Amino acid sequence: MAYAGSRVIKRSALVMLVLGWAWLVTGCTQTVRLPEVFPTPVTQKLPLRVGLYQDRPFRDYVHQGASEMGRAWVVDLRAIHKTLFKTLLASQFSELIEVDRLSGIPPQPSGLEAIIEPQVQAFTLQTPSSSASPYYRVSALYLLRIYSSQGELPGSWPVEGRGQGHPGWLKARQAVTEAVTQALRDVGAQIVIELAAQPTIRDVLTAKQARDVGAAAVEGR
Amino acid sequence: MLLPKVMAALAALLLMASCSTSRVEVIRHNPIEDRSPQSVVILSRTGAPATQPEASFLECLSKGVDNGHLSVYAQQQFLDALFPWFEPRAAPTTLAELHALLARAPVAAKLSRTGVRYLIWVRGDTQTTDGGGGISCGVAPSGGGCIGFAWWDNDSTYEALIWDLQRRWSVGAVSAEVSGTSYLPAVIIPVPLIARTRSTACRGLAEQLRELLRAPAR
Repeated sequence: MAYAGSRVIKRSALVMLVLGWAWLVTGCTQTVRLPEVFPTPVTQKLPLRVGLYQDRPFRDYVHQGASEMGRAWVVDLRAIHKTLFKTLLASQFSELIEVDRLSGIPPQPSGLEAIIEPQVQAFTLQTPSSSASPYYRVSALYLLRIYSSQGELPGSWPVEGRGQGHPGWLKARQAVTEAVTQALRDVGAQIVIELAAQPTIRDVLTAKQARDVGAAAVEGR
Repeated sequence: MLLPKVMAALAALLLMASCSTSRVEVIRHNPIEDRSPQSVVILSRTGAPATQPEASFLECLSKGVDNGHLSVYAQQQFLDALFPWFEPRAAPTTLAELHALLARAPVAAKLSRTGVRYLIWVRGDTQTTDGGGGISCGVAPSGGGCIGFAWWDNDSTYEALIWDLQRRWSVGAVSAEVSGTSYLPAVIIPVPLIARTRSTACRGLAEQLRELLRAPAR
C-alpha cells in the first residue's frame, strides 16, 4: 500500500511539473491578433488625389503592455494596420495612392494633392486588475500627419478611439479583442465624421478647387 | 427518515427561488400600418457602460423576436454595412438626428439595401443589488464537501425603443423590470437555485415587442 501511495505521489508531482512547464511556456504572454478586415465606410468622397504613407514602425506595431497575474498582454496590430487607414481613406478621397516614401515630395510623380501619414502616438490597455473597473479598456491615439503637395507639414490631427470589453467566465482574450476592435472602430468613426472639416484638408480642397477653376478659365479662352 | 425532510426543504427552497416579481410596460407612439413580414435590427443603445445590455441578452432578445413574421437582421452585419453611422460616436439619439442621418444619400441608399424596416434600441442591464450568507468548503483524505447558505438579489431592468426607419417615427417603447432572489444552500454539495431575472425580462420584452409590431405569437 505504501508503495502504491508513493507511486501516486510521484505521478502527481510529475503531472504538476508538466502542467507548470506548460504554463510557463504558454502562459507568460497573452497575444491578441486582430484580423485584417475593417468595414468600408458609407460616405461621400472628396475630389482629391491623396497619398498614404505608412512607415515600418507603424506597419510593425505590436503593443506590449499591461501585465495581469504574471501574464503580459500583447496586442498585435500588424494585420489590421495593413487595411485600417487604407480602407478609411480610400472611402474619403476620390483617389488614394499608397506611397513608399515621404522624401519624394516635392514633386510627387503621381500629382498628389496631399500625403497622409498615420502614426501611433499612444496605445493603452487597462485590465480589471489595474483599474477599479470590471472591464478591459483600450485607448488608441493616432496622429495623422498631413503633408501638402509642396512637402510641407501644414497640419497634424490627433485621433483617439476608445473601447471596452467585459470579461465573461474565462473570456479575457475575447474581452481584450472586443475592446481593441471597438477602439479602432471609434478611430474610424472619428476620421469619417471629422476629416472633411480639418483645416488642412479644407485648405487643400480650396486650393484644388481654385486650380480647377483657373484651368477651366484657361480652357474657355 | 432524513430523506423526506431534505426533499421537503429543497422543494421549499425551489419555491422560494421561483419567487420573482416582474413588470412589463408598453407605450405606443404611432400605429403599425403595414402588417406584412418585416425585418428588424436590434442594437445596443449607446451611453454609460453601466446601462449597456449584455451580449447574451441581445442574443436572447433576437431569438425571441425572430418568428418568421419579424426577421432579425444580424447586428454586426448591420453595423458593418452602415459603418460608422451606428457606432457609439455617431449613432442618432433622437428622431431629428435620424432624419439628418438619412438625409445623407449614401446612408439612405445603403439602409434601403439592407431591407431593415424597424430599429430596436435596447438599453439596461442586470445587477446584483444585495446578498449575504456564506459557504465553506473543505477537502480531507476521506472526502470533501461544503456547508452553508448564500443568497443574492438580482434586478434586471431593460428598455426597448422602436423606430420605424421608413416612416422615420417612433413606434413605441417597451420596458421590463424583473427582480428575484437566488439561493445557494450547501449540504456537502452546493445546490444553486437561481432566479433567472435576465431571461424572464428577455421573454417579457420579446413578447411585447412582437405584440407591438403586430407579429403573431411564436
